[in-house]
Amino acid sequence: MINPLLAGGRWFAQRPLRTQILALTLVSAIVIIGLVGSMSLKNRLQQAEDESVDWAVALSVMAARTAAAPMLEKDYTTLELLVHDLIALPGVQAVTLVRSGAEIAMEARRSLDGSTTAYPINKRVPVPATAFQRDASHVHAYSALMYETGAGQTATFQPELASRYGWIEIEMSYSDRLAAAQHDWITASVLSGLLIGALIWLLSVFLNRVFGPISELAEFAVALTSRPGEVIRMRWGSREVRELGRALNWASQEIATQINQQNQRVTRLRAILDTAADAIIGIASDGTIKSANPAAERIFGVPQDQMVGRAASDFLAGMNTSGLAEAIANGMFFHSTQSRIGKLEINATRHGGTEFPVEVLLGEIPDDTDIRYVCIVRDLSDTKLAEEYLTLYSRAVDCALNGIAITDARRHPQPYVYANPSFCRITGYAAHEILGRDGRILEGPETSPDDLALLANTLQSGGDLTVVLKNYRKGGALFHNKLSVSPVRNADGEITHYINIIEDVSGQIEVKQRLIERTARLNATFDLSPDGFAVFDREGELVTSNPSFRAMVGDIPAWCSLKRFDSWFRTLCEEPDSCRPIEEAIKDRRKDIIAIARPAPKILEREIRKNLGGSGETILYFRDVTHQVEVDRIKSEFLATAAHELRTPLASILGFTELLLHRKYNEERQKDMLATVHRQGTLLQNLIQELLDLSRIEARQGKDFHIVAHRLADIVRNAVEGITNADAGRVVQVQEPMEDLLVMADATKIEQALTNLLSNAFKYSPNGGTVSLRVESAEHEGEPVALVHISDQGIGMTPEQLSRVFERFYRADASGNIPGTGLGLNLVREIAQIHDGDVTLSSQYGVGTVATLRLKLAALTTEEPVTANA
Amino acid sequence: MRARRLLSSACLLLAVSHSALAQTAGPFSLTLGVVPQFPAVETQRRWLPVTESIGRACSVDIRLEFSTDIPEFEGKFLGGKFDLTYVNPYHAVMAHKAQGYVPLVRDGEKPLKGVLVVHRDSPIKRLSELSGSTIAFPAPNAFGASLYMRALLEREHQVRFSPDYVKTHGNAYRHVVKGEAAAAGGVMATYLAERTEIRDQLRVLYETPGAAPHPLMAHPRIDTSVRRCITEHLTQASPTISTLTAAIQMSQPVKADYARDYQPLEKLALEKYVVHGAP
Repeated sequence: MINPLLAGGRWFAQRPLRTQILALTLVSAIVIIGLVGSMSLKNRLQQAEDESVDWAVALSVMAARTAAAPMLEKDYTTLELLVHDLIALPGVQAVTLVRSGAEIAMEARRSLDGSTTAYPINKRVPVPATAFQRDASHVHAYSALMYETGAGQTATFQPELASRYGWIEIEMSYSDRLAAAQHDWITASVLSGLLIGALIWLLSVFLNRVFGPISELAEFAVALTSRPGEVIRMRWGSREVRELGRALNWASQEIATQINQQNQRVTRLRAILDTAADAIIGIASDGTIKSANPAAERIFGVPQDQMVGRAASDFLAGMNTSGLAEAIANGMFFHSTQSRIGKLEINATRHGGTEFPVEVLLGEIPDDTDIRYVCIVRDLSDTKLAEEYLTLYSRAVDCALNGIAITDARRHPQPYVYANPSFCRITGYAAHEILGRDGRILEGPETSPDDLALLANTLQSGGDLTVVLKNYRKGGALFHNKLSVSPVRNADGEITHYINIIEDVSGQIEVKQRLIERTARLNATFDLSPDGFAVFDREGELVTSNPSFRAMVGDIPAWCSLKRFDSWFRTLCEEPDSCRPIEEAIKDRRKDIIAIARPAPKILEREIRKNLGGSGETILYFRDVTHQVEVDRIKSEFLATAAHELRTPLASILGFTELLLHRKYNEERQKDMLATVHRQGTLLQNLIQELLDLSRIEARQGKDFHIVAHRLADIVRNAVEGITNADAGRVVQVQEPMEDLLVMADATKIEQALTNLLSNAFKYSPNGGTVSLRVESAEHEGEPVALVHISDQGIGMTPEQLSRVFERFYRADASGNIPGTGLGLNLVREIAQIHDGDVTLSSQYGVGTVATLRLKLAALTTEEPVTANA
Repeated sequence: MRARRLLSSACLLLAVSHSALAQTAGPFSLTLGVVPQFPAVETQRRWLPVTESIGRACSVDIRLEFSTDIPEFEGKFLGGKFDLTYVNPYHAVMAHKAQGYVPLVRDGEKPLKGVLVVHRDSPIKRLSELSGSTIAFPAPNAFGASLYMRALLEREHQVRFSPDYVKTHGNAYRHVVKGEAAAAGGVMATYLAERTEIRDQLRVLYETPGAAPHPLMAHPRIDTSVRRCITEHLTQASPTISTLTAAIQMSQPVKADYARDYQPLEKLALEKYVVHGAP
């Protein structure tokens, strides 16, 4: 059984001396503070209580003397002021004034808002026996209102005097005083505790200063061997401690000096071994490797620690025990050291089994029992590889198709120091003619000075450059030399040489020039063509389109790809569904006729080609065939109408002649039928004649017209006379006198036109009526013209009929009762327009029609005929 | 209005010229006697700011003269010892008759009313029930609380009672509270100024008709310009002056007129009820 006290004491004794002193001081302080504190608290509380009692008694005596007179006079106001002053004093809780006979005259008590005063009626209290009474927190002090004492004597409380004269009672609480005393004690205790804490802290600091250096010296001595030369600085300590520190510092420096000298020697050797480029291997007499330097690890690819212990012959072929001895025996003998050095070139084996050539120098250390041989191995791989690469590069440069020459940048004016065979071939110079000369040997009259200046600047700034120069071969032949110049710098960054690579690009430039010219021609053709072209590349992006294409379809959107163009173009079509997609049209390579509504109604012929020349481009070709289609349509329509008009009288002729041939009719009937045949034949003849006239006019466009100056009156009178038939009632009312107007006209054609107009006037006046003619001069678009008005009082025309009256074969009379071909008015318009004139009609249905022929007045006033062409 | 302005200007010129003369000759002194309602210290506390203010305004040096009790005070003003005096209304009649004292200002807010109080729990409901009982009064010649009250009780209400003079209004009220008197005479101002706990135990049984309150009077030997200056200074509408005069129980000082305010008291023949030599 271990005594815990003894064990604790032993444990405490093993603590550091500093800890022991601090612990004992702290415990002592706590014990002393506890004892002194508890005693002082008890005394302080008792003192506060006694003081309160003394204070209350003294106060009651003083108050009694003041209150005696007012009590006798029943001056309650004065008494009330006195009592309230007493209540206002600290600790006073209540004041009672008792008059003789132990009846309460007035009592006052402290309240929250000051004090309350009461005047009880006939309330009595017992006479107090002592000057005061006290309990745990209050004291009641009594004083008679009058004392029978002599001067200078202390008033002593006597119950009989109190009963006789009355008394005053003051109740005072001393709990506040006790609380204040307690508070003072706590404050003092805390301050004492803090003071003792501060003292202990100061003691701790002092002990640290005393014992700290000793601990540091101990630690320093322990670490002396591991950190030789280190010096301890004693910031604070006693004289003995500082002497001990100085001794330890001296010992440390001595040890450090010796170790440094040893380390320097080892370090030098280690540095030699570590920085050697060649592998240095220590080999034991049995042929195993004992040591290897970092170069050995780098050369053989095996970590140093893994090489140690292995046979030297694993890395160096033939370097076993006998091989080593033989190499030494065959080595050179040095008299200075009386030793032999073996030198041989053998193959070594790298990690992974790769063999490589090495040069081995082998020395022997006879006295060393651990390492017998020192072997220096030099790797010859790089040397041999460099030789091979140098040969390869030289061959490659010699074989290059481009001319390669090297100039010496350190000399002026930078002579060629090397030129490959291609350089000689391109320039026509032999190598010996080139070397030692500079680039000016290739220059001539057409060599651009600007290009040369650029080249010179580039060389001066140390940059590289590719430029095409016009150079000359040895024979003076011009060639385009694409020259690339690059600097070669040495290890210091200084330019030592320039590599000049030349290429004869004359053929390329000629082809390029031709291509540019051809492209320009094609572009001009492309732009001037009336047909539209648009080219899309392999990815479907729009490459180009010519102006005609844009004129046909409008401005193509900028974002347009082939697919989008196809969609967009279909929105332009009159019938988008009938427009085939481009992809489909590409497949069968068929031309499409497409009618578009926007930007202007047109009929386009579309053809699409793809993969032209293997470039994958898509070419859209558009041709405007609107006019051609319209002409075809008009021709077809005209032919159909003409055939129909010709067939109608022919059917009548054939029908009546067939009847006359196969049946018998009386003479009158026959005559009637023959008259019909004759009439239809005449109609047919007129029709054919007018068709021929129209055809001729259209075909020749007035080239057969003999347009000269004529008097209009003469032409008009001839036409009127030709149609006038008084017996048939056909009389034209000509307004006389007619103006003497000279017009440019083919008299025959104008007369034919007037005859047609007058004939129509009579034909469309079946019920008679006046047909009148009037001539006048007027102005049309600033020029003088002659107008011939022919008016009738016939059936007239509706606005719809009037709008179509110039159409070929159109008849205002659809019943057929009025004979006619439907070509007359059209013929009149053709004749008028060839004369730079026109014909217009105005009509009112049921009232009549007015036809006006406009003709240009002749400038001449003579009647001398002048041809139209003249 | 114009005449009043002229008069004011003339007064001002007079006051200024007098003030200038006074400054050259040094301010002349006036004595002021205040009826000893309060202890001398309290009287000085209340009156000193007022006299200093008047002194600055009218270039006079007013000195307070204290009297230990009423008889001494009465003897002094009846002998014309005070230049200025603050007295109760009946004293005003006495001073006017004896020396020709002229009232200058009085409080114009509330008339002086005497009150007769009984204990809250007292069975007395009518004045006649007080016959034969003891009634506490502050002093025999206190106007509202005693002189006027006793005259009215005896002359108009035919009440016969035993007076008990207990020095102060507060004592009179406390005698009722303590049961040592059936009723007490006082004035409304002191009754309302009592502590709530005292007032809660009392009940007002009777109030006298209102009379003009205490005036500040001047001896006829005092120059009229000084009298006018004092009157105008104390009656001016100024918060500062109002604060000062409130302390001397004049919340709203107005110009007093003997014929109007105090001459009617002469008809009451209060001399019969005056106790000569009483404190």
